Amino acid sequence: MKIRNIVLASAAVLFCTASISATTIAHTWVSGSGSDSNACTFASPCLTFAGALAKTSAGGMITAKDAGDFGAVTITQSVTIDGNNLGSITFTSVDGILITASANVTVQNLTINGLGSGGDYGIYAESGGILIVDNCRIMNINEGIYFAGAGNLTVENSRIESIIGGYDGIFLSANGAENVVVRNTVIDASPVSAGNSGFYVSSGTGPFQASLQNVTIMGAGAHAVLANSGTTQITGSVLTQSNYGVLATNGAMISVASSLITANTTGVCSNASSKIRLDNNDIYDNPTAIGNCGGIVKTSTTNKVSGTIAIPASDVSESVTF
Amino acid sequence: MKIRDIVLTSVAVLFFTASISASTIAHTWVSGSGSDANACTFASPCATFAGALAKTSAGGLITAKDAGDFGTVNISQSVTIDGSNLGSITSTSTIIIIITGTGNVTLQNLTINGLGTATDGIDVTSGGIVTVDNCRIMNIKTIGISLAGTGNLTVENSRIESLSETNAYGIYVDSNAAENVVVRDTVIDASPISAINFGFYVDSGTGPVQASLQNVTIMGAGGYAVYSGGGVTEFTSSVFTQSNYGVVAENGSTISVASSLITANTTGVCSEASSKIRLDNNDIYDNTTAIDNCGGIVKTSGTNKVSGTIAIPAADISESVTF
Repeated sequence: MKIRNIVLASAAVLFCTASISATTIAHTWVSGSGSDSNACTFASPCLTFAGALAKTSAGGMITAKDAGDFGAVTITQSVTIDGNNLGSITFTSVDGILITASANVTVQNLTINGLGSGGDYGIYAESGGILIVDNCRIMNINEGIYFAGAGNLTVENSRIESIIGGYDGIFLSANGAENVVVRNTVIDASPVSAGNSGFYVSSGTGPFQASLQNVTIMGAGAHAVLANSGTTQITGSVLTQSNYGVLATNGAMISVASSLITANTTGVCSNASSKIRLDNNDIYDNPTAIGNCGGIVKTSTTNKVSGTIAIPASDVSESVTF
Repeated sequence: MKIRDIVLTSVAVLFFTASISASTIAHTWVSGSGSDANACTFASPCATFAGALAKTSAGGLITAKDAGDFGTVNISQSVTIDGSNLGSITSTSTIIIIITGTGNVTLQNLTINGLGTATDGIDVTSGGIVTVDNCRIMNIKTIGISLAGTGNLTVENSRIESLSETNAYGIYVDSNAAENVVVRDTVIDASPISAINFGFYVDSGTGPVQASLQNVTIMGAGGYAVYSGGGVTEFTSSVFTQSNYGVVAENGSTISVASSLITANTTGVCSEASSKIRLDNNDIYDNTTAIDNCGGIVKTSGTNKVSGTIAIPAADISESVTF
């Protein structure tokens, strides 16, 4: 190569590098065999979600082109991350996905694995926003999903399991107007000895609201569902094999309809100033079906209950225990 | 290369090109590394759905061989497009998928992302039989899925989210023909509530429209989670939540809601003049107004559980328990 050619080639490389770092594209790609020095195009994919995000326009999308472990990522903009049922994130000592902006973020078709070694949260939205988690498997983490601040969280078609002791499947700060929807999702908080909770609503300033549909929560050594504030409605769900099935406290309201609450030490408990509504549920094989915890439990006449009902008889509409 | 060889090669290329454009095959393929100059066979896949469609027989199938962004497509024949849970379409075009024929079209296993700029996700302009299964439609300005024309629309196992413009619709049924709609196992997230959006919307057309929805969750609608301006719509085992209005019937329409959860809306249920809503076995909680008095009929079965204000005349309510 002549000297002139070398100079031109170097200039071209410099120009190319500069142009990559300055521009973003709407749809970027990652590949198990990619490189973050690439432009993250389909033809020239990046290696990590973090590398791709830096080259993705706000509101754009990152897609896994093939299988790979695309690394933990901190998100500061609106974006969709699609693992394409091929991608995973394994991590330790950081959050799998940390969202620091109040943005519109969708995470879908992805396995997130904290390897059980002190990996922090699976997905941590620390400033609210709109977060949609669809078809993800989150495992071996402290908190599965931690959502804090005003916004909307939707979790669907997902599984959260293998939570390290003392943490929760889904934790909501309830600080700000938080609206949560969870459907078609399993939270496995087992083993009971770990003392975890499945769905945990903290005592924030609110207003907090959650609707859960077709959710199974099991193995919680603390509570399958615990609400410290706001209103939570549960329908078509299963709460089982936990210490408490449903506990409302600190003025929270929980409504449970058309669900199965079974094989918990205590099925349902409402602490002072709190309220639980029960309609059309099957509440079986809990040693204490409905504990007398000092709050209100309202029952329609359509629940089926076995086991001890400790609340005053006047508060129970059911005539059948079975 | 000799001149004679060049001439022969050119002739061969011309012939090959001509034969591709003239023939179609039943099952075509797209790949992220394909080319629309290919024949769209598995061995030689195309790069775009549009490119593959031109080489697909009527009633055929286009499958994503691997991951890729396969571009917008205008469909005027019967066809199945299968993204194989690998394919996506990102586009800032006005409409991402237009279905203009009256054929039988299935879209499955596909992510459709309008990047906040595309106006509509899927527009069915002439009816037909259209099935959308396991698709994720997002970042659309105005309409996720739109149906116009005589036909059947089925949406299942899908998600419609991030409608970016005020007065946007998750699913819009124009109601100007015999339109039959089934939606199941689907989420329509119309949030944020500050955008005055609508989840499932049947407009006031000449009809007749019939819609059955099962196991659907609709939330975050600053307008109405569900609105019908015509025909009959039934819901079962569904959730309407975190919206301004949950269920609204108007303009002579009938909506039936059974075994569903209507919760955390400003107003849960509202039937306007000459319209009717049936409520059976629902849980209607934590709406500021549970059932408003909007001038129409609301019939209740006696098996709903209701908290909050019921503004309709007591004579119209069968429920004895507020809860």
